[in-house]
Formats: sequence, C-alpha cells, structure tokens
Amino acid sequence: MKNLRKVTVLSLAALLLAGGAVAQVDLSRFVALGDSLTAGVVNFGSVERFQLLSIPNLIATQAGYGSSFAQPLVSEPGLPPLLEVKALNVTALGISPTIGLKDGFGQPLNPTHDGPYNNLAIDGANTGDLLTLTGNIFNLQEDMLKYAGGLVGKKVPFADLVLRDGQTTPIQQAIGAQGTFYWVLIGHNDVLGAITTAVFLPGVTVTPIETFQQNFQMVLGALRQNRPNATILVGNILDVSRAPYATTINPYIVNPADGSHIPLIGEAGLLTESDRVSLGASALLAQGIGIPVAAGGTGQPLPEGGLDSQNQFQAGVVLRASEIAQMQQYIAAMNATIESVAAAVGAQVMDMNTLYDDLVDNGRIIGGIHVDMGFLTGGLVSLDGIHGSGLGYAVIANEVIDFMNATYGTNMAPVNLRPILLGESSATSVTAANFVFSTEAAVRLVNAYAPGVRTDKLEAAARQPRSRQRSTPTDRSDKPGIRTPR
Amino acid sequence: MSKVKGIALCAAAALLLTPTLAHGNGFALFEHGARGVGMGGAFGATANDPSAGYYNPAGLAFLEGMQSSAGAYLITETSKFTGDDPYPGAGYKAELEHQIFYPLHLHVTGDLAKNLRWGISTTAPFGLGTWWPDDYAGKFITKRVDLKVLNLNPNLAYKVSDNFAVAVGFDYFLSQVDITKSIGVINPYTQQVAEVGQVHLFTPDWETGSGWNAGILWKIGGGFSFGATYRSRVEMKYSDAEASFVQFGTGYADFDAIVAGLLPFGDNVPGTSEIVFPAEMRYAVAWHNDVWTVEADFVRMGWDTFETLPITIEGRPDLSSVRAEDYVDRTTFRFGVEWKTSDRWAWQFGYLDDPTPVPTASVSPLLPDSDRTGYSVGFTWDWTNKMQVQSSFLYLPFDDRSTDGQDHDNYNGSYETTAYLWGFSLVYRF
Repeated sequence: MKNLRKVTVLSLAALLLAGGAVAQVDLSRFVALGDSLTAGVVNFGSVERFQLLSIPNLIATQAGYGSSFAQPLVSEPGLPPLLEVKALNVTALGISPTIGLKDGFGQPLNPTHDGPYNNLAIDGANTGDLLTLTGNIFNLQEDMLKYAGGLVGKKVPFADLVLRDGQTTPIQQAIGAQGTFYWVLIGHNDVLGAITTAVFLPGVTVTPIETFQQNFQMVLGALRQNRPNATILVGNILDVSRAPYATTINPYIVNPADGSHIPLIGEAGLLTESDRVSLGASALLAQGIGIPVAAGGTGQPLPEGGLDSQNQFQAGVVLRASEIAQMQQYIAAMNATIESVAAAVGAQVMDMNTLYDDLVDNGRIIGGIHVDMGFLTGGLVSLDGIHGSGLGYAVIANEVIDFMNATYGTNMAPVNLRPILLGESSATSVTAANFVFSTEAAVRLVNAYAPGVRTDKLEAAARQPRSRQRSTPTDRSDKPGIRTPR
Repeated sequence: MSKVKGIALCAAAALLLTPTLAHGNGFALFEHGARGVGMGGAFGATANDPSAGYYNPAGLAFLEGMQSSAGAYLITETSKFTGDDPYPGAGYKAELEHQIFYPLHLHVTGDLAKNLRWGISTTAPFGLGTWWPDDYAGKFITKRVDLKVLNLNPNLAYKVSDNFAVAVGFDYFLSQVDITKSIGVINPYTQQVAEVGQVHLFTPDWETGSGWNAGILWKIGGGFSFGATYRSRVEMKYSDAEASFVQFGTGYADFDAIVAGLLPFGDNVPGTSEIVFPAEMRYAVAWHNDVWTVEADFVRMGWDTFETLPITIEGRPDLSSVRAEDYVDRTTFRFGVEWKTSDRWAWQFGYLDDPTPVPTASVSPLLPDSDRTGYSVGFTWDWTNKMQVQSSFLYLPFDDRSTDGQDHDNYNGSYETTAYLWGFSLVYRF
C-alpha cells in the first residue's frame, strides 16, 4: 500500500509537472502484456532471479512499486530448466562450448496470487494468443512434460502458469486488472518461427500479415475500448533476423592456410556471404556436415528446411538472403501496422526496433566495459541466442525509462547496472564460431516458436556418424519422428 | 661550474623519484618557488629571485651574482567519488588512496658576460598520481596512474637596458608514465563480467621531448612592471613503453585456460602512447614600492592540443585504444600581494581562479578535475645576507564536479576534491 501511495504521489507529481505537450500518466496499476521478452525469459527459461530483471518489473521498481509488481515467479532451476554452459572445450579448431539444460524443474512460487498478475506476458505467445489463449494452473505440470516431449508448444504450459483460471484470456485479465498503464510488446512469435526453422513461410512458420494486423488491431482496440483513460505504451518489433541465433555462425569456414572463405554447403547449393546459418547448425557442423570434403567435412549439405518428400514441413538451419529480406519486409509491415493502430487508439510507441539495431551495431559501454549482442561473451544476450540476458533487459529497461521520462514527464531514475554487470553476487573475446549448441535445445526452440514443424530431419542429421559418406535420400516413413498435433 | 652541474644532477635524481599529484589546471603544476606560490603564482612581472627561471626568465637579467633556489612542496589531495545510476549506482562511494607527493625544484643562475646571464631550472611542470582502491567499480577504466615530467630548462637572459630584459630558453622534458587497470571479460558461465587480469603499461626508461620558451620583462616606471612569457607545447612520444599482463583466476579452469591463450600473460609486450603537453602564455603586471608589491597574472594554457590519449599495444589492436580527452584552452587568473614588514621579513598572500580544461565527458577516475580557487599565504625571511628562507601554504578547494551522465566510459557520479600544498625554498646567494 505504501508503495502504491508512493506511486500515486509520483503520478500526481508527474501530472503537475507535465506540460501540455507531454502525455499524462498514472502508473498506479501497471499491467504488462507480451511474450518472453516481456516475461523476462533468460537462457530460454523463466526463473525468479531473471524475472525480477524483466523490463516491466524493472520499470515498476523505478516507479516505486517495490515488491508489489506481481509476476508468476518460478523457483530454480526454472521452467523450462534454464540453459547453461556445461563446458568450454578447447579443441584444435578453437573453442567449442557445450550448452545444455540444467537438471530438474522449477516450481511456481506464487500461484495463488490474488487477482491477475501485473505481468501477464506469456512465453511463446503470438498476437492472436492474447485474444484466445487460456490456461489452467492445475495442468501446468502435465503440460510442461508434454512440452518437453514436443507435443505442445511452449505457450501452453506458460498460459497455465500465468492465466491459471482455465477461462480468461490475457486481454480479459489485462482489462479485468483495471490497469492505468499498459505495456504491450507482442508480435515476435508471429515471425520468430522463420528464424528457428530457417524458412519464411506465412501460414506455417510465420503468421500471415493480414492475420497479424487484424489481431493487433483487436488487442489494442479492446484495451482502449475497455480502459479509455489508461495510458498504453506499445513496443514495436525487433529485427529478429539480426538475433545472434541467426548471425553468430558464418556461412563459411576460414581456410587457415590463406584466410580465404570456404562456403558451407546447403541443400540448395553453396552458401553466399549474405546467407546465414542458425545456431541449430552447430551440432551438424561439429560433425562435418555442411563442410566440403576438401576442407575436412563430409560434403553433406545442411538442411535448408521446407517440405520433405512426404510433404511434411521440416525445420532447417540455412537462412538464405532472400528469406532474410522477406522477414525484414514482414517486420517493417508489422511495425507500420503497430504505428498506425497505436496512433488510432492514442497509444505511444517505443521504438524497440531501432534500439535493437543500435545494440547489435554498437553495443554499450558500462563502467569501461564494452557489452554487446555477441553470442556467449557479449553480455547482452542469452545462451539461446534470442532472448536478452538479465543485463540486456536492464539496458533496454533504462532506454524505456528514458523514453517514459521524456514522453510522460515521469522522473524515474535509471536501474543500477553495477550489481547485474559485476554480480555482486574485446577487444578480448572468446570466439564462438565453433561451438556445440545441443540439438535438443535447438529442437525446443523450433517447437516453441513453430509448433507443428517437424524436426526429425534435424535430429536424424545430428545422429549420423561422422564417417558416413553422402548418400541418396531414403524413405524415412517407418522411422519415428516428433509429430506435433495441429 | 662543476658545483652547479653537481647540484643540478642531484636535484634531477631526486626529482626522478617522485610522481606528482595533479592538483592544478588539468595535470599542470605551478609550484616552482615558495615565494611565487605564496603570491598565488602571480610572479611573472616581479620575477626577482632565481625562481624567475620558471616565472619569467627575463627577470634573471636583473639579478646579480650567482644565486640558487632549491626547494620542495608537500602535496596531499583528497578526492571522494559518489556514484550515480545507472553505473556505478546512486550512493556508491569510492575515495582516492592517500598519497603525499613532494615535487622538487632547483634554479641556478649566474653571470655569463656583461648584461648577459644564464639560468638553469629543473622543475616538474606536469604530473599526475591517482590511485583508487583495487576493487572499486571503475577498475576497468583505471586503477593507478602515475605521470612524471621533469623539465631541464636552460635560459639566457639579456638586459637590454636598466628597464627592459629579454630571455630565451630551451625546454628538455623527461617523462615516465605508468598506468594500471583491470581487464574485464564476460564469463560465459555466469554471463557477468569477471576480472580476468590486469594490464600495466609503463615506460622502463625516461622518454624525452623538447620545446622552447621566451620572456620579456619591462619596468615601465612609477613602480609598474609588465612581464610576458611563452612556453611552447611539447610533444612527448612514449615510444618504448611496455605492457605487462597479469592473470587472475576466475575459478572456472577451462575459461581461465581460454583467457590465458588470448592475452599475452607473462610476457612484456611493446606499447606506445603520446601526450601533447600544452603551451603556456603568461601576461603579468605588477606594482611595487618599498613595502608593497601587488601583481596580477593571466596564464593561458593551450590545452586544446590534448585531444586524445592513444594507447597502442604492438600487434594487438583489440587491446589498444584511443581515449578521447578534448581538453579546452583556459586562462587562470592569479593575484598576489607581498608586504615587507621589515628588512628581513616579508609576507605573501595570494588568490587564484583556475578553470578546468577538462570537459564534462572526460571527467574520469584518471583525472577528476574541476574548476578550483586557491588561497595562499607565505613568508620570506632573510636569515643571513646570503640565505633566504621561503615558505608558503596553498589551500586549493575544487568545485564539486559531476559527470552529468556524460562520461565516455559510463562511470557516472560526482567528485569532491581538495588539495593542500605546503612548500619551502632556500635561496642562496653565492
């Protein structure tokens, strides 16, 4: 209560200080809607110590909420168990970090919280899910196991964790919370499947743009209609084609003799310098797949993804330049929609897209240390190559705080980065070009962001012994694969 | 002559031992004679003892016989840092390690020919010594910096008339630099910064640079005098520096092994750096009678030549850096009064207003500079006909300086600094 009073005083002060040009804001009931980027997912899982570093929780803390900003907190080792570095193996080729899952499963810490959580973000949710998804806390354990088995998408158990009552959708709970300030950052899961499966295919790996546009309009429209006086701050969509998951591995290997680039081999031919290889390829590359025989590989191609001989959609690991271009055009179209819908309902837009580009291109200097979006050693990105690290979310939260101070006249201090950076608890860099990102982790990513897409080809390729010569495609209809119910 | 050389060499050797704390204008130092300091450093139009070798060499022309002035300053400084969000955080505190510095000065002058005199001055015109606690939050920017600069400055002063003298001189700079800082890398296991080692850049030998200086002193009449001096900038290339790297274990053996392979631990790697020391232009006007001397000096330092501090580690562009400094030219106002209370005693009082050349974005733990004012008091006592004892005390409070969120390294907060200087000079007339 004391904190809410503090927050109300802050809001009143903000109202008094705000001139005519600045939007008024009441932060006393702060509600967040979104996906894993808003939920504070780090290393692919949700766990309390990183959920406390979620963007909305950090903003709420700076706004005076203390511990009263409610989130669906999870105990160690997280749900799903977080990725961690198992070993940094030094080999003749360089450093080969092994990344895998922690042991065990986390438990919900506050499932009986009274009323909707302040943070209603659901890991794996796309825009349409905000309108239709429900979840029952009593199904959490079972759904988590189904997700681990590849039978349901990640958003299913997380809807159980966040929504709990088996009846109401995220938008309904957000409205029911009678929020005075809404943070909405949604849409990444409408497009992320293209990265994790390495295929841009609307209707399969990507939500058709018209569907996204309709859903987004309905989400913001419903919020505005039911909460006419609330402030709504919307984030636009990051260019996920620039995520380290899609940019860390080069489309070539370097010839140690002369430094020249030897292109990797995809099913559709040699990769060019503008093509990309996702982290899912690392297990395959470690076995020589995708590498020409002359360069010490097997000569077998990396899977590109697409329809296989049984007309089933298979995930791949090669992102062609044309697919990346399509993704970027799609994201531009999403952001144009977000801009116009926000304007129509009187919401403000935080340009996360430009911020993300800046973090990728330039990084940040904190206390003399340069941090950036480099995989493994950059400091701002998770071990899954997609989500932020705790520090990454804190850096972004400070940018949002700056934006809110400038836009709404709030007077929030930035988040203190020292304990996050130094763990009170170059330059030089570990090169992450040769590493092993476990196939299991890659498959989970595919299942999370593109449920229904098959990964048996990826897994089969990873299981092949290194010495096997290139062979003609065989009929795999008798082999078990992971089938996800549509 | 050999006595003089001997003295000069001894003084040079002594001066070699002491880094000096910057408590003036950027990292410039002005304490080269106790009487001059007692007068707030406003001595360029009076310049009537051997310390004129620094304040205005043209003043040497009016001295008689062989004279020397030798002395030292004891300098101590406190600097307290209070952090701001986002780094190192509101309320974070760190304090400079306490040190006492004792820069020495030696001026000797004598006749060369009719109306022509020589002078040799050895002073420390620049210096810096900032030591922070080993574990403070800015350790990745700097832990310890020591900069020593020695100027061996021979001058020739010519008395054109009883009222007018000119001088010209050569400045031979000897300098050593020593910088230590931590190396931080993101540990993939913790995804946080680990302090994996420390780098120490130093000059094993003295590096050299040179410049020149000139001065005029004009006794206008009616007790008034006017002085003007110029000291050129000096480009100092530290071309034979070395960098040594020490590794700290993180507790993760494979990570330590990787870091060991990436950094040249255990070997000294050649490195270079460069500092352009600013030119100094001084205009001084004084009035005196038998009892009083009143003087005002305007000293302009051409700091805008100090744009960057490059540190290059040979063959390792990843470990090299160019630090933006972007200092700006500044004029210091100095005012001094001397009151001769008897034949043997005189008292000096001074005031100085010294704006900082360091722009806000360059305020850092390397040099937490700020605008400062100074208040000085001193005395001279003619102990015998041949010997004069000079002593002065300078109190130098700095304005509190905030980085205003602009620091290049994003180490933000404010610094509260004060310096205390006490010194003496012994003038001997041979």
